This record gives sequence, structure tokens and C-alpha cells, in this order.
Amino acid sequence: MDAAAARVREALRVAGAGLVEREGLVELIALAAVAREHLLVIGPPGTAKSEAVRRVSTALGGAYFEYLLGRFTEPNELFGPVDLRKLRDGVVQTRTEGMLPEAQLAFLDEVFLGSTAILNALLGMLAERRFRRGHTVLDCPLRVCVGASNALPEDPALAAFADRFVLRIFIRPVPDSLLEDLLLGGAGLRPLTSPVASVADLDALSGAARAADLAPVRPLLAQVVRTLRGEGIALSDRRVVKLQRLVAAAAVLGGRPTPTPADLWPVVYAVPTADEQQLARDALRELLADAENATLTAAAEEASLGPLARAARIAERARAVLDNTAGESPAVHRLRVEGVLREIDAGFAPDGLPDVLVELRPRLVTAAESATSPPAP
Amino acid sequence: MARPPVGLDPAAGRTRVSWVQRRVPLVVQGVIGHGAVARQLAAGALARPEGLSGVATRDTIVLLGDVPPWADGAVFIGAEPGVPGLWSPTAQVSDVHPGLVLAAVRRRGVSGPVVVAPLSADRVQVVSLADARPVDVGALTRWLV
Repeated sequence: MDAAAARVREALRVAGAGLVEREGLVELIALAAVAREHLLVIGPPGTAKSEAVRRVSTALGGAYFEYLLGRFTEPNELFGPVDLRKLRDGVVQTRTEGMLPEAQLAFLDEVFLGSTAILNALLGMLAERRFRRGHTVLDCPLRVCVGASNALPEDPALAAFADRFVLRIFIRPVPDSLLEDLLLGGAGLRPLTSPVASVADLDALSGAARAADLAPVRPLLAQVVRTLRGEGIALSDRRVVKLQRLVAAAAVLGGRPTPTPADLWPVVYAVPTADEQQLARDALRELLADAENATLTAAAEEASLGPLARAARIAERARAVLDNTAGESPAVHRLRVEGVLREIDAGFAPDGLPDVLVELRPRLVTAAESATSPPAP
Repeated sequence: MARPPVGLDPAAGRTRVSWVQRRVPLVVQGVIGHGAVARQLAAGALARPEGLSGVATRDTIVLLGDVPPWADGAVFIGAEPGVPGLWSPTAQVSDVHPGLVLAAVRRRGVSGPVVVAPLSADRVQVVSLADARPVDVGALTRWLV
């Protein structure tokens, strides 16, 4: 399990390199895949949603299917064409080779624009991992489906479909403070060509998650849900039950065969709307204080706002900045080092520096001082 | 460029403030430095003055902006939630309620937005932001000399 988690961690690192402020999205795809749940990404156009999913899919390996849905998208475009030879014999069979029913990782952009026929077929695929169309009934190898949309659907008829996406992340454009990183990362972003991990790794972790003993954290999880309800955040019973899968998946990805209070943070991503997620972060602050995850550092931090998770995420960024200087001018390197130092010093008092940053901060200071004088714009 | 900083000296028995780690840091909106740290901050501001405003006294500088320069020993600051007019360290909060800290500062005649941040283990620094203005490269260069 540790080796599989290490490979998935490396895959996420490779996939996320060059993407700015999308670490949480990248990591949640892996969490969803291990939990055997689906992820909904909500955000404006041009925020690297599809690029992030594509890179993670390449890095994780497996059969990948991607499609941009529109109001006039035909079911054939997703599921495959009807086999005309068999149709002559009165059999409606779909040729699914290379199409969504045979995908292990799928990305459906503008997912709520699909027709009723498409959404009904998708509902079955997402919920039961079974494709039914005419005489075709197929067990789908789908590990995770990532759906994307500019906004949550307002049509109540889509509520049942949207609820199948247990995990949700809301993406915003990169903030001003990270524009340099965005420009640098965007310029250096190269397509990934080969996988770093494999679907077998995801399966091994999924197996470990299914076998995980949730008894130690179940009372705490119930308390978390009660706290959310107390804040007026309603989770469907289905979602509440599925929280356990998310917690178990977070634990195995974090290297823990048995979940602990450090693994409760995915609950925040199961809260349906952006406003409610923010409310959940505040309401659960104390209950999620111990949150951290060695593989999903950014997602754990963004969910819990906890100092340990934040320190782990900054440490990861610090190591990346210190270790990857190839192709950088000294001025740009200094800029990036100072960015990490700013984040450390803005987040932690000198006498409250977490252990994981105690060794890294002096190295960063040395790196900043040994670079050029402050870079000109 | 600004009024002199007002040191609240605990030894004088006026106000006793110590600082504890915030669980969730404030959003960075500026930085404050004193002595050599202030000079490093000024050098950083000269290199990248865009979007920065600030105020300086003889030994202290406050630079305001979303991406202020970094210097070892500088204290990043942000607006204290629920206490309009008070700017505090992003990573620390006073053990005295920030509203009382601001009230103590006001009693000493400091008006307008004001930064209250640790200067050393037993001293705080208080700087009014009332006269903050966009960074002027010429003025800042002269301040450094």
C-alpha cells in the first residue's frame, strides 16, 4: 500500500507541476478515484480545469475519455455508435470501444448540458458503474468521472444527477499574488506523455480503503455531520454514508491503514455549495484541527485551514522551489523563494514554526540571500 | 512621511501586550519592519514598487500591498477582522482583545488606521497609516541614504 501511495503521490506531483492554485483539484481526483466516487469541478472558463484533469489522467495511467458536452451532443458521441450489422438482425448493440463505457478515468466538460437521454445513461454509469443502452449491458471499469461546469445547475430536475458527484471543488482565477507563478508555470507547462502510476495502484489503495476499520472515527464523523446540520448545512443520507469512503480513501493515501481524526477533512468537499463549504470550514475548524495528509497536502489544507496541513503544503512547495532551479534566472529564483518565505512568515510566528518548516526556512533564507539583489520587475 | 511610531512600553505600565499564534492567518495586506529589516524592505520596494504604498519613519517602514516585499525579520500585516482601523500581524494576535489594543492606541492620540505589531519580545510598535501614500522611488531612495 505504501508503494502504491508513493507512486500516486509522485504522479500528482508531476501532474501538478506548473499548474498554479490547482493542487487541490489535482489531489481530489486521486481521492475520488481511490474512494470510487466522482468529482464535480465548478469554475469559470479558462481556469485550467480540463488541463488539470488531463494531466492527472495521463500521470495515473489507464484508459481516458474526455468530451465537451453541448445541448446537441448525441449519445453516440459519448457511448459509441450503434452496431449497424446487428441492427439489421433487430439487436440494438452499441460499439463502445474507446468510448466512455470503457473508460477508467473520464472527464465530461459542461456536464449538465447533456440531453435527458445522455444524463439518464450517465446516472446509471456513475451510480452503478453499469452501462445500459438497448441490448447492451456492460459493467464499466470507471474509477472516477470528473464533471465540470461553470456553475451549479439551478434546474431541480438535474439535482439527482448532480448529487452523484459526491466531491465538489470550486475553482477561482489565480489571485494577483500568484501571477508571477502563473506566468512562469504556464510558460513551462509541457504535455505529459507517460504515466507515473497505474490504475493498479489506485485499485490497491481502493482495496485498502474498503478494508479500513472506520470504527475509531465513526463517532467523530457523526459529530462532524451534526455540527454541519447545526449550521443549516444539509447532507443527504446518501452523502453521509459515502463520507466514510472518502475518509478511508484519505487515510490510505496519507499512509494510514486505519483512519484517524486527521482524515476527516474530505467532509468539507462533500458539502454541496461554495458558500456552504466556506461555512463548513469555519464550523469544523476545531474538529479538523489535526487534519493533514502526506499525499493530498493542498486539499487537506484548503479543507481544514489547519496549521499542520498548511505547514505540510508549504513545505512541499519549499522543497519544489529549492530543488527545481533548472532554467530559472537567479532573479526569478529569488522571487519564488521569497514567495515561499512570505507564506511561511505570514502564516507562522517565529516561535511557532511547525517542525516540518524549521529546517526548511533557513535553507530558503540562504537561497534568497545568495541569489541576486531584489529582482527588477 | 509620517508621524513617529509610538512605542507602547510595558515597562512603563501603560499597556501590556503579548502575542499568540493565530490558528488561521490573516490575508497579507502589507509588511512592517524596523532598523536593518526596514532597509531591506525598502530595497525590495524599490525593485518592485508597483502596487505598493506605504509610510516610513526614521527607523520603521510599513509597505501596503497584496504582494509586499519579504525581508528576514519583517512582520506581515493585515486588517484585523471586526476591529476597523486596526492592522495586526497576519500570523499572531494580541492576547489582549484587539479592540482594547486599538482603544489604548486611540487614547494616546493616534487616529486613523494604525498598525500594532511586535517589535521585540517585550516591545510593540505602533505606526499610523493615516499618511500612507503610493511608493515614490525618489523619496524612498532618499530615505534609504
